[in-house]
Amino acid sequence: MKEKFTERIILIKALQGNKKAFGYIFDKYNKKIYRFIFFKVSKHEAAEDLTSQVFLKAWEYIINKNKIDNLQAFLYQVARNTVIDYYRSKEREELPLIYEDKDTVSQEKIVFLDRELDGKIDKEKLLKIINNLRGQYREVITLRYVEEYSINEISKILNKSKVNIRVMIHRALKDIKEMLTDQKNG
Amino acid sequence: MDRTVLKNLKELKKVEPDFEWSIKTKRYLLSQIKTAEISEATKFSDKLRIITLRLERKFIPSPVKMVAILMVFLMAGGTTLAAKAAIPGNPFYPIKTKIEKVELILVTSSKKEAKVHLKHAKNRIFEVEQLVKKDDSKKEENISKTVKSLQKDITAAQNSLEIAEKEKETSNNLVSVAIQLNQGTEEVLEVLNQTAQNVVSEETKQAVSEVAEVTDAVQDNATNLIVDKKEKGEVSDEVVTDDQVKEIVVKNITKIENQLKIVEEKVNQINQDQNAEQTIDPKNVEEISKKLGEAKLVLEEAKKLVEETSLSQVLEKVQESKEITKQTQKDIIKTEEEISKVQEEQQKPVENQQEIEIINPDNSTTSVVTSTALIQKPLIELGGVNNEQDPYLLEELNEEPAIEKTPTSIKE
Repeated sequence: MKEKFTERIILIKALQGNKKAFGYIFDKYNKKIYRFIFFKVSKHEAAEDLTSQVFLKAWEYIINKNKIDNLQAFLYQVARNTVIDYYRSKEREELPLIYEDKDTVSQEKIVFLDRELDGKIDKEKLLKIINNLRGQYREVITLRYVEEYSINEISKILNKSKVNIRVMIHRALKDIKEMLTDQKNG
Repeated sequence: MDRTVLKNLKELKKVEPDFEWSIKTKRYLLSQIKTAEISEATKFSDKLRIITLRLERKFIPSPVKMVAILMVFLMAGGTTLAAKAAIPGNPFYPIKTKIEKVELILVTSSKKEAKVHLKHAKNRIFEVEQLVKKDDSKKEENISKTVKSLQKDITAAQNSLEIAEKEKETSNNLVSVAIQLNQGTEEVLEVLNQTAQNVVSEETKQAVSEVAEVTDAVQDNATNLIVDKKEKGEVSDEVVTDDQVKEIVVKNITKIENQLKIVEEKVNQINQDQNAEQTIDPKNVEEISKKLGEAKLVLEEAKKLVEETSLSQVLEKVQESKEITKQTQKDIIKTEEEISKVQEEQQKPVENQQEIEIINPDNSTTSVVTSTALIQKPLIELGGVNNEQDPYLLEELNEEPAIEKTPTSIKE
């Protein structure tokens, strides 16, 4: 509850050109947006570039005195659109990690790869699983289980009904299960 | 399998951009704001929005805080210190009254109701004590009101106890409430006694004595209940022991003894009053004294019985003595009233002294100064001469019965 109010205050301040407000927004969202984009493009540098673009676009929007109801949802939407534009301009497909290019994800930069997981699934496999999911399913799964957003928040971010979101999550989990059994068998 | 996947997915939260990149980008982005075209004037409406939002944010408690606040209210019973200390005339007093009403609503059983009424009664005597100390124009009025309220509370406490009995509340519970009532009424009577001495107006004195009577009766009822239930063996020693009950009864006896003494003193006063001697029928006084003696005797008997027989029998005797004393009191009050009437009338004729000329049989006149009172009273006994019409007629009839002159001749 309080966060909502804080954000509204920040937005108003940002509208007034308050630099600190912008700084606050960046600090809060840059990692999340980065992750969101990374899970789509699977490339570190690309993700970084696109993230800066997202924030620049957001700044423009705010500076032009446009009203933003939900900052979080807005930023994610901008991120989505930015990624779409990126693909259109690059005319590239999403590549799963195992086919990564040299100039893309370098393993040292991704911290988590060094850590041991408790479960039988290791990180590479995890990423592979996610990347193999359909675009929208990937979104809901990462937003739900990585960022741990509520169904309500996700529905606002993806601009879909809550029921829709739940169905997608369910289907995505089904797909993951199949993939896992396939991996086991195959 | 699924759960592990999902659990592990959380780990992907560690995916983040380069720290250096973050710093660089932030700096760059913020620099972009400078160069951008931004309207400089901060709208007042925006400022207002921020202020209201800030205020709103301040007052939105977290769920934990809300629960805590709710619990504080529930546990504190909704009383505030300021309201507790309020007396009539204080602006917080109406709040106190409302809180008391709420307390009654929240009550769940009759025995609890009795306790709450007693609590309110104690609040009233606290207020009376404070009011007596104060010195303002509305003092007596407030005391009167508070004392009347006290009467209601005491009566209600008794009623609740009676209802509790009808509702078959356990004897242990009934007696424990009765004991509290006993002690509470003791305190009330003490304060009322002091108040009566500090109060000036007749009205207030009347109100105070009325409440004292009611409280007294309630105390007796409570005592009776305690003794009765204990003797029936329905009360455990944890609530009250036999010795404690004896103590209560002895206190009761002492109380009635004191009441008796007060009445005795009054009788003595009357006997010593010379003015009274002339006006009261000595027979009346004798009867009163006799009754008092009787009351004393009964009380003495009761005292003896405390150690010997059942306490309920003792209480019966005590009650008997009390009744006699009460009747005596009433008689005394009547007598006192008579005395004061006579005294009033005795004072009046001093102003109404008249010089009356009496025509003697040998036609000489004698002037006599007399008072109409002496003339008037016997006339009443004679049966109804209207003494207002003709004072000379009275004089003729009373003082000079030998003169058989017509009124008109005297009127000359």
